[in-house]
Amino acid sequence: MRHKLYTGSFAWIIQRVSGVLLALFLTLHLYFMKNINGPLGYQSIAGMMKNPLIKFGETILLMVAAAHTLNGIRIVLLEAGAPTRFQKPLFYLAALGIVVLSITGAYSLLGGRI
Amino acid sequence: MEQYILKIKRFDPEKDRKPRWEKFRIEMEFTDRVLDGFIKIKDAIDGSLTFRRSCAHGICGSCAVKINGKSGLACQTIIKDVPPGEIVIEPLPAFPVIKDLVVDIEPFFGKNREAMPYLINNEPPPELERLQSPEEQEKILQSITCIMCGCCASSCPSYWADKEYMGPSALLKAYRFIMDSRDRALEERMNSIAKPHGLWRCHSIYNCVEVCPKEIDITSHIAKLKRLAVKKKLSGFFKG
Ligand code: SF4
Ligand code: SF4
Ligand code: FES
Repeated sequence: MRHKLYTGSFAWIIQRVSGVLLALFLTLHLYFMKNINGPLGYQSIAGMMKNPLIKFGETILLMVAAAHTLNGIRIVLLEAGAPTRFQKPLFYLAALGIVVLSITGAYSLLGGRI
Repeated sequence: MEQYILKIKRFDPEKDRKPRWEKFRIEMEFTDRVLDGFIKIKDAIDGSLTFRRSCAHGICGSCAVKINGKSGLACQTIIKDVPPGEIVIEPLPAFPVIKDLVVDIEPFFGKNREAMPYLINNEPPPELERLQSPEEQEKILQSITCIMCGCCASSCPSYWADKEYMGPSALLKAYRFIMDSRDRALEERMNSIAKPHGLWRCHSIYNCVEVCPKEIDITSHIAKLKRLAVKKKLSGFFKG
């Protein structure tokens, strides 16, 4: 290890990784959307979305998106002038938000109801 | 007096092909500083141990090394503040090693020069001196205290990844003059930092703030410059 990592480093790594994953997802998403031809094509894609594997994938996607969004809001706030003493509390807050969104999201996506 | 083990990463360009670890067992008071350990080793055990130090009082910035994985001043790190047991010492990361704990900080200084670390003001000087109000001084007070030790840059992930990144202390230097009420080179200065290898390479990771021995809130200074750069760009945009 080059240097000890701190809260800010973890936040940054999460942001990088989730950003790359989201970019990958968006590419796939746009590709599939572009290739939907008429109602039949839509039907088949809609059918595919019921696949438990896809559902699971969607849950992961939700977690990644939640992480990227909340972490991103933290950085925007900090760069917009929120004082440095808030950088760690803001990360913990974002982390809490990510956990809550992930759990509730997973619950409703994977068949439970909230 | 107690026994401590200093595990030091050493490299002698004349003998070693790659760095090697060496352990030194020494007696130290818990009030001693890590630097005292180096001096003890050099005096009594191995005179070839090479490190930089000058003031020994946290003001010259020359004794920065990596202590237990964290960049810091050897002369300012008290033994009682590091976890007991082995103390692991390495040269500063991200700088080329010259010998043992001595690194080449010329690239780092070069980047600070890029930030034009001098007052630019072509107005005729007043009779005595260019005055500043206490409020104006307050704005740059923190940034003035930088001792150019390199702890910040060496701990910054952006600095590791981008060899051309100016780094935290150079940006802090830029801030110091941009916000100085006596300076007149705002445009020039903003142009020298508002570029991909300057301001925009800082991702607000805060490692620099974690290690700065002068406790400077570097990231918030850089963020202020980012806002200033955006404001200038936008105002130029609306003016056409
Ligand atoms: S900003 Fe702090 S860590 Fe960086 S060179 Fe200056 S004193 Fe050292
Ligand atoms: S806040 Fe900016 S300058 Fe400081 S360590 Fe992070 S990326 Fe580097
Ligand atoms: S020897 Fe001068 S700062 Fe440590």
